Amino acid sequence: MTDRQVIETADKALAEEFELDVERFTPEARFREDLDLDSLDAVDMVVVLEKTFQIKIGRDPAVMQIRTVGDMHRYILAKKQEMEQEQN
Amino acid sequence: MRHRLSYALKLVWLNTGFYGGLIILTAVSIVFISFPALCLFRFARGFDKGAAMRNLVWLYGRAWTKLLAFFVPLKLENCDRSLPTPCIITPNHQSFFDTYCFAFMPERNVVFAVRAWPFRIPFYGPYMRLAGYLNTESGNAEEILRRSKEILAGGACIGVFPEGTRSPDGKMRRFHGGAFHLAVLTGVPVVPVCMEGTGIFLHRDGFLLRPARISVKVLDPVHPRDFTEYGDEAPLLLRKTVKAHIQKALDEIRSECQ
Repeated sequence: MTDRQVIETADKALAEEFELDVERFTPEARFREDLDLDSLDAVDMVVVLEKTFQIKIGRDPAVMQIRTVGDMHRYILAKKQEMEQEQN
Repeated sequence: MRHRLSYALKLVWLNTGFYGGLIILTAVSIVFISFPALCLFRFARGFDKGAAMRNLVWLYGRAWTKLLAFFVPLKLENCDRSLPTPCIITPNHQSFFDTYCFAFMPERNVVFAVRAWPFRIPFYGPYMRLAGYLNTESGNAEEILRRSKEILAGGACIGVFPEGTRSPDGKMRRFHGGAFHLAVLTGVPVVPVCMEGTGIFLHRDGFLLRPARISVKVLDPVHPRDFTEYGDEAPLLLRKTVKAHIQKALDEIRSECQ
């Protein structure tokens, strides 16, 4: 999966789960202010991302720092890289 | 032309009659009924301050349902069924009057979880605060969740509109997850309720009342224990299930009306 595919897959999965237009998932979009997602939605977001990418996020403190869609993209890409390194 | 005139007269009758009745009902409730009823609930029945006020609010709502029945046709399904206590009542949301429609149900001790603006409504705001309603914009989600757990532990039900705001077109909007996380954490069942026609009667963007047929259907409780096997996914699946049940009921009611 290329980085672009990862980003598109993440956006699509979250847009479906939270019943939002995928076009709203721009890198600068803020989860709370622009997408109206609260901290409980963040818990659901972790579940969706874990399921979509078959990764373990759990209570990773880095997730608490995610504020924008761009932050989420960077987090998932880093997680993917981490997994690839572990596999090699 | 004749049809338009008849419709205009109907609008005048509905708006003057219903709003006039509502003003009289509210004034009589505040001036004559609230104090003796509160004393009765508080001292004769032994309710705490919040529960006494919630019983009073329910009585006011019940009187409102009688007023409503005088002006619009109603279709009530399963509204008289006793609800599991405590529970989380989750209707779809189309109109300001949806909270009043809770009084079609027999459960009196309902704490509403609402946004900040209703607390600023003159006359209503102080009663809402006394009733201990939850302001969902007053803090972070964890704090609201903690207070909600206390309310349920105290035996009261929680009424929440999972859409968070009134639908402008009758289509259900996305459901927020709070009520469903709360249900899974506490093991308290969710009671989906389908309300239809209230958004036509009073649209979210205006004050003009329009003729409508109002339907309220109380659906079977959905228990979070049926979702525990799904672990962290349980709140998501519970939310989807409840929304699907309400959507199905909404579709049935709308197809009956066509």
